Amino acid sequence: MVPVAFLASVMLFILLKLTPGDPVLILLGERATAQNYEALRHDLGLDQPYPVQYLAWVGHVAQGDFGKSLRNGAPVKGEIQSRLPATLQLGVTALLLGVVVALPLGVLSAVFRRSPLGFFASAFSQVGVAIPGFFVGLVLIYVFALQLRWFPPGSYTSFTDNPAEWFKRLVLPAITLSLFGAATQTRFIRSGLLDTLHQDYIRTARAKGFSDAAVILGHALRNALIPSITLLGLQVGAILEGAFIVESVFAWPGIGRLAVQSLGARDYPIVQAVVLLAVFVFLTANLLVDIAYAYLDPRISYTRQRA
Amino acid sequence: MQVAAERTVVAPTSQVGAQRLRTTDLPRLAARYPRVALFGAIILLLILIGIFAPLLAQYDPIQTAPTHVLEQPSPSHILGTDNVGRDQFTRVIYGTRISLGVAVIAVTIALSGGVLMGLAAGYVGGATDQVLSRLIDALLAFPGVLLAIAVTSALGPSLRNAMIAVGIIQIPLYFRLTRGQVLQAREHEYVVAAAVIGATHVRILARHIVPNIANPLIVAASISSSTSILALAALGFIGVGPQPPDPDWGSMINTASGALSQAPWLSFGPGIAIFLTVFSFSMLGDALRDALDPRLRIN
Repeated sequence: MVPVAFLASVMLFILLKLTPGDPVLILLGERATAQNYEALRHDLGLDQPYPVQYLAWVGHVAQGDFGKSLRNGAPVKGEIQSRLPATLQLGVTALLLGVVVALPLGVLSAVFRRSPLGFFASAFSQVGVAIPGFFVGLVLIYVFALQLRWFPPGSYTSFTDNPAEWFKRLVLPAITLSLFGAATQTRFIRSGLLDTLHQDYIRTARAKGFSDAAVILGHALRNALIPSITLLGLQVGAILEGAFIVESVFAWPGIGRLAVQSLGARDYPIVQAVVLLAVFVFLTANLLVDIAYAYLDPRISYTRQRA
Repeated sequence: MQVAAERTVVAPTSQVGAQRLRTTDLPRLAARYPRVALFGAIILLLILIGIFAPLLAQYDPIQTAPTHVLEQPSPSHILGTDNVGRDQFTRVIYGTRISLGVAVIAVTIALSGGVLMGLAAGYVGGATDQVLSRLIDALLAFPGVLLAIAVTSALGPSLRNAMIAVGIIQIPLYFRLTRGQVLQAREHEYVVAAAVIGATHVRILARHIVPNIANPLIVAASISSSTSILALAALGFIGVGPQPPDPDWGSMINTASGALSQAPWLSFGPGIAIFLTVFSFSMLGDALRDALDPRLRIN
């Protein structure tokens, strides 16, 4: 985890340095003279060697200082803080929704493999991973917002202002964002369960006279779910990616939309801060998955064992 | 003894090479692997559509027509016209070139980079393996599309840079696959035998190891073509991929989203095109895996 985070931060720093546009010139704008150019360059530490600049950058980032927006000079930290809650609400809802859909669908499709339901579930998992989220979002807006008028076409209301309106605005973007995860998770649970159902201990459990439900839910599913915990970590990544797109489609005021707008305005400090934050969340999620893994499966141990 | 071991294992490969595939075999193969044939045929069709785009589409994909803005689908414009009056069907047809072109180039970047690094890591091992593996772990620390966004924002948004970015984010897939397979193959008797009779490292890699890991790589190439097209569409949609007026499916949907209430049909052409292409590549990958690896054909 530590060397990975180090290398990832170096990569991001290199990308930062490759970014076109001289930040000193951008900050000075019309007022640039050779003299104050050098002065500001020195003040920003940009005349230092790259390793020194890297350490300074890491130090700032660790304190939550992501620099200033090139567009309006406001600290990037504040811009992100004000939009983070919206992204968290959408992301967590989508993650939960994905699991809530995938769990029954995956189980039922494995148990009733040759039924129409099994066919539907595998079609859902194949189609769900191949269809772009922004297209789904537009179709949902057109059908449910513009035609049926069940939900508003976009934007956000805070929960404390109006809970009912908050929920109505959350539904469509959360469905869109959860689709990819629900589809991959369904497939994983289905194939995991199909594998475990052939194991000897399942036959033993059946032979002892347990009911189908007890065997499937009590014995098979518990073991089948372990691989899909890994997928949950990857799904956090998919949701972070998806947030960029889904927030743009639904005018959801989160960090993803902020980053996309900043991309358009060439406001790179904001884009890079959002990417950095996403990498941090993604790494943390995967670390938690690793920990959960060891907890759920006693056979896995991260301490070095004899060969 | 060791020499004999190499002979027996290598022999089947050369026999397969001797049995030349004839066109008359194709129906039999198609009947045996119907899914490979079906999705392979769809992809072949898409390639042909890309090549013969000028014959299939009667309008210009770039030239604007201010008098025909946002027209409804009609016999002369079966998918309607976009916000500057271009025929949407024509642009969807030409978009095939961009998507398939990106898939080819991004997969080439990912495949060559990932396989070379994977061979080095798996075969040389030691410090080389450590360094390369950590580097790949660092790439994996980025959610793929976000890394592509970061790369394109650093290099500048363009079709070329989007291809590079989409290629880079898929290097880990090929790296891990190759490294794992090489670690397994290294221990096999035929590799040990080849080393004993004095084969050079390059020869062992090229003649004994690479041919044995080719199948999973073919499967990965098909699946990562689908991921590439989906990632490119996302980049195009948020405006850091191909730039206007290029007929790119992702950016066409972005345009369509701006005119959703006036012209809801506009997103359907590019949306279905992305889905069909991505779906076909991913299904072809699945089908190839089943066809090439009989051990996986359980369920």
